[in-house]
Amino acid sequence: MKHPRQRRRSLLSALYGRVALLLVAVILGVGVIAFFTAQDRVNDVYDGQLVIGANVLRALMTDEIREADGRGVPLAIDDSDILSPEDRKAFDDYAEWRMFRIWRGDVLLLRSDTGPAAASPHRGEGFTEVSAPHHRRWRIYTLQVPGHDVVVQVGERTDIRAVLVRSIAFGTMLPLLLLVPLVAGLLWFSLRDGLSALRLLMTELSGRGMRDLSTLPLEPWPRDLHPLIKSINRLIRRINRAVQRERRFLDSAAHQLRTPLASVKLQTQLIADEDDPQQRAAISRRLAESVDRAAAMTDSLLTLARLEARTAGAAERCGDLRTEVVAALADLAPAAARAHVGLSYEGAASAPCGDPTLLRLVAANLIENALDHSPPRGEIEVSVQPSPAGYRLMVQDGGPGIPPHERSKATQRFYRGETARPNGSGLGLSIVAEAVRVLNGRLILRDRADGRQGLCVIVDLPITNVS
Amino acid sequence: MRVLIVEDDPFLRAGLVRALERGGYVADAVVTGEEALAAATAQTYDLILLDLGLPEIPGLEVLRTLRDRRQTVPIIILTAQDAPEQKVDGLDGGADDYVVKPFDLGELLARIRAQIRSRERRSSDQLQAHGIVLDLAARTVTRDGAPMSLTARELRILTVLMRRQGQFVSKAELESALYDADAEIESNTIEAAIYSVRRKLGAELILTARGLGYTIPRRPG
Repeated sequence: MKHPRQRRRSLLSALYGRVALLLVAVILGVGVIAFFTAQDRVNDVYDGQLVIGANVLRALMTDEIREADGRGVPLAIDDSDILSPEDRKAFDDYAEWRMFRIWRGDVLLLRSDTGPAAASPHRGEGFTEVSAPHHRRWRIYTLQVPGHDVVVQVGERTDIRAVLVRSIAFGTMLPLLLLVPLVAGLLWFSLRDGLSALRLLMTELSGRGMRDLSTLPLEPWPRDLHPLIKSINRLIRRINRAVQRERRFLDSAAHQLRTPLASVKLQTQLIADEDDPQQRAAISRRLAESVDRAAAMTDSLLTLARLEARTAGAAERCGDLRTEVVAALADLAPAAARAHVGLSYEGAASAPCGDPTLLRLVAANLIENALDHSPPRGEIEVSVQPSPAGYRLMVQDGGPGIPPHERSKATQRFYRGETARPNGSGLGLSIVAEAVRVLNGRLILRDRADGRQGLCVIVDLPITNVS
Repeated sequence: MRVLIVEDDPFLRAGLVRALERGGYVADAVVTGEEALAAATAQTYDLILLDLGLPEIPGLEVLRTLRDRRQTVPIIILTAQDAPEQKVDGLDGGADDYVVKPFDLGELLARIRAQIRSRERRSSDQLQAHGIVLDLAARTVTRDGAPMSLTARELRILTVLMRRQGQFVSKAELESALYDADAEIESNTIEAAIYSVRRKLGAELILTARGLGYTIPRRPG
């Protein structure tokens, strides 16, 4: 399973980082909005002042203009004639920042000391912006005085506005910026507090003993954690079931080994003071057979345990089902002959499907099982045929079969059905089922299709892709 | 004394039969629960050794069925199942003792003797009559303190008669105590054995009554 990278980091710091980023973004956003809003308003107000200024100037000069018109002479180029000293004084206070010019035609009648150099007045009315040296820009309002060829221009350096806009924006941002450490601190503590339930859950889980497989109660935890706790509980229940299964298996395994061991112990005690040579021979034969039995049981248990540890999947080697079935038949032929049971094989020339060891295990166990249940002079029919998905192994015997209601239990470990033989370990079909699982195949138990008595075991195996 | 062995492992079963025969018992062995129920109905046993993990009918069910039929024969469970709850189930199900495999033969025989002893309300394994002492555990006989040598067959006959001292034991009962179910019995075997016991231990020890059988009286006649 792959985990997203952020899971390796602390959940707390990741969450905190994100919320802090959001906080900074909000503050920056507020600053930007404040800046542009202030700029907009300041422009409106200052532009209004320029318009008023120009109109005031025109009103102040009305007499002088009319007089000059009456005389038909150009306006005197003496500012004292047009503006009273008070007016000039008032203007001079902001002299650095402001400018004015009065034109008649293209002749500059009057101007302040400040302002950008200009050869002729701007034609038309309204605002213009003019660049001047030293990175200065001027915003100028031009007013045409109707009826006279007089133009009044009032201007202002734009940086006076910028200063004001900046100070307004800064004034808005400053309290927010001062709040940042406070909010950041509060945020840290509330996140920590919010995540404390998770930490508690972690402590609870890591504090558990190996054998404590009880589920977690939901009530003490916040609702948000319920899905997590439910998943943990589901996992615990699955583990529990697996552990139970293992325990039962170990119990059964111990039982199954104890009987042959009891026999071994009994025979050794018997042989110690047995004088009858015939009896001694019988006892030592039983002793050897009991040891064989215990060894076979151990082998079966180990095979099963190893199979269970394997996951289904692509085989490392690709064996041939036919080869393995034929080899298993050859191995069991002497035993079949002793039991007067016939063996027959029919099928494909080659059937490549899966790990040869597993194929052999499946074939050998199925044939052995059939042999155990076959009546004397019975016959075991084995076939390997191509099937839509791969190959089908079929083993049929003439034994008592397994009643339908017992078939689902027949692959359980240590299952010994109503028709079980005393010699059976009860592991044969479990081993087959496990091997078939690892081979990605399917195991079917059913009655014989030809209507005769006996069990028909079918194993469907896919064609293997060798990894 | 006749013991029924119910065990599905063929080697253990054969070993148990041999061990019990050497212990002076007649042992019948069966494999399945069904056979066990049939045998216990057909024959009277002094004890049953019962395995729990049997094919077809589980051992516990055999046990309950026997007890439901009011069979009071001592039953010792002989099983690989060693969990305490399984022992509880077995003993509560009517078993008199519970032995876990693998077991020690000496201990198993001692437990069998103990069950039979308590069933016969005896406090020891030594049976006494008229100066004869029969030790069931050691399988020895003394007459007035002197050890006597008896054959296995003589010992069995003496055992049956001394265990049921004061009662008549029929010839058929003696035959059943001597042989397992399948054995062929020669017609004069019992008489021959009684004769040699009388010869070794005294003619007046065993009395005969026609139609009743044999007895060792409580008091010398």
